[in-house]
Amino acid sequence: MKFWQKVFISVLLLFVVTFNVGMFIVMHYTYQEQLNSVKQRARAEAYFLRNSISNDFTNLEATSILSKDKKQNIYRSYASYYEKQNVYLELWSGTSRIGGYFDKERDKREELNTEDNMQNLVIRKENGTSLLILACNLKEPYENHILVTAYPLTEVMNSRRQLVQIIIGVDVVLTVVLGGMLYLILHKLMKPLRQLTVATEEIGKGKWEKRITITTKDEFGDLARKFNGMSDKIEETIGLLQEESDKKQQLIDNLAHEMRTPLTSISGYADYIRMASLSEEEKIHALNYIIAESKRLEKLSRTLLMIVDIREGTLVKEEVSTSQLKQYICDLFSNILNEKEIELHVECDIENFLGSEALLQILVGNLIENAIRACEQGGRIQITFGKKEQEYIQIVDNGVGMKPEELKKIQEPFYRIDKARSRKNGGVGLGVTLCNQIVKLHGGELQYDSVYGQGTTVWVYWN
Amino acid sequence: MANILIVDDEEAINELVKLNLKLVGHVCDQAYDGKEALKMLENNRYDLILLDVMLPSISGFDMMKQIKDTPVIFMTAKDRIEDKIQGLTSGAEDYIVKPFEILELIARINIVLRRNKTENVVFQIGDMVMDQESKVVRYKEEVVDLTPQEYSLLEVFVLNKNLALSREKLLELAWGYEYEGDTRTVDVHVQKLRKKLGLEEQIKTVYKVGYRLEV
Repeated sequence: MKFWQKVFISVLLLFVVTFNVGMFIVMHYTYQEQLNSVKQRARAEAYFLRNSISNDFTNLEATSILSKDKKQNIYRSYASYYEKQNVYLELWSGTSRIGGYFDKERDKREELNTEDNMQNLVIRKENGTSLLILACNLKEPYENHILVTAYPLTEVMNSRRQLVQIIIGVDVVLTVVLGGMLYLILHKLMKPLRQLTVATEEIGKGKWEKRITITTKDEFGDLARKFNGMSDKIEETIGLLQEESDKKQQLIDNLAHEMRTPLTSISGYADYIRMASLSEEEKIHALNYIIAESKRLEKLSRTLLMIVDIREGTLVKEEVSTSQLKQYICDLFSNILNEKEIELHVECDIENFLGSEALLQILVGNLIENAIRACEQGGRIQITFGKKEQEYIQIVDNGVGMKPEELKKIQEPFYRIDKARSRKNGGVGLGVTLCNQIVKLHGGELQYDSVYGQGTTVWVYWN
Repeated sequence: MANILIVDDEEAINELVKLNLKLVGHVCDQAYDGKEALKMLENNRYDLILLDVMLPSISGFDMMKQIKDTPVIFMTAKDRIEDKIQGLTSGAEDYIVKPFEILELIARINIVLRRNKTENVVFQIGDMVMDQESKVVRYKEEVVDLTPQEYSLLEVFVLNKNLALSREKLLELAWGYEYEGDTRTVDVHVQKLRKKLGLEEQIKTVYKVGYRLEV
């Protein structure tokens, strides 16, 4: 059962019960009041009649003998008079009835067991009519006579019945009106809850951007605000996940491209050599492409494996001498530096770094390779191994530099500033990715500053 | 035969395509990025452009918007279905995914050229003249009666001239994938072509490979 239905039924039930109990109490009180007034009248009249009949008896006895006939005459005169007023009389002399109205046997009429000067009052149903019956002894010396007066309660009963009918009528009308109003009020009060339900449903279906517009200051408003807060968080997380998965997809696309291109060349040139009738020179031309492209593939797989190794491997830190690093760099790049007439300065302000020697060589080697690539003929590269707050490596070149949008992209795997030139130099587009992995593994940070046309500075900070 | 512009930033592939197309008789120009290609398009008329998608400076999809009336075949490593759809809806005639077989590229080029009807439809070698439009072949001015199978084999040789084709490849290209014949069927038909058209010299048997029509 729904919440609003529960509230609806509870309130309605509560109302019906309270209303009816109240009405019953009012009705009962009214009935008692009416009954009391009849009783008082009965008592007063009985008192008067008793005296009056007693006096009549006394007066009669003074002149003649009080026979049963005479008593009956007196009784009849009273009875006929009172009957017109809807009051019934009965008179007993001991156990014999002088005149009366009721059929019931004397034994079964408890009101007749009267004691001296006491009025016995009962309410009884006779022949389908409720009666108020009052019995009392006559005055001395006729105390063995019992006078019974009976008042039909039809009016009181009628008014009670009427009241019941009115109450039932009012009950029905009020219940319907209250039910209607209650429904409208609940419907209005439950509106935010319905909105919440709809919004939750939509968010559940994947519409993460959905929000609730509830401005009330009650619990629903509170819930809505909290709910929106939760949705914000979810949307943010989903966004991050999406971004992450897009990046992965991008990486896979790029990798597929990077592998396909040399494969197309290799199989293409092999096919070409087989299918065409070629001179020796043409054959070697084609074979050179096959060899170059195979090497490219090989380097790609080697670099990828290295990245995976670094990502999964554990770092064994050792003291790496900066002067040995300097020696390594000079040996590795001496040929190309001479060829491009690039000036290289290495400054060692500190003696040691803590890290893996092999990885540091790859890191510095890659960064310098990029710097050389950026430099024109006769450029200049400055490397500093130093310490300020942290230990750092700084590589400054006066090469072509990068535009801000290029700077943003260089961290992406397979991004190349100058595709053609990079490939000719044997680059596979994973250098910066690899460097990032190495620096991250060492707990450091890689930063680029670059001005287009003026040069690039790379910072590696060690924490 | 046809004037073709090859646009690919990969030098190896650009060169490979050029070498092969030169063999089958096309004239090729090469461009290595989008800007260069657009400049060459301003100055020359081409029957067809072979266009890579991922190019420096201007991407192939963006270039497509500036190419008006020259048919284009995309030649790319992007093989996702969305890329193919984008390529074909941008108005390209075809879309070929790297790595591709050069024979497939040639076949697709021929289809596009035939559709655009700018290609020379008459082919002459020795005393044989082949009219690709009317499908009539003459040897020493006389019309030669060729079976449909012989004609389609000859057409395959002509379109892939100077390239050695394996017997399996010839079966596939001239008879179709469904044909379940023996590769000796090919030998029989090649013999017939050589005899009927006097191409004993030109249709060479290449050891361990197959046959090559040399021009």
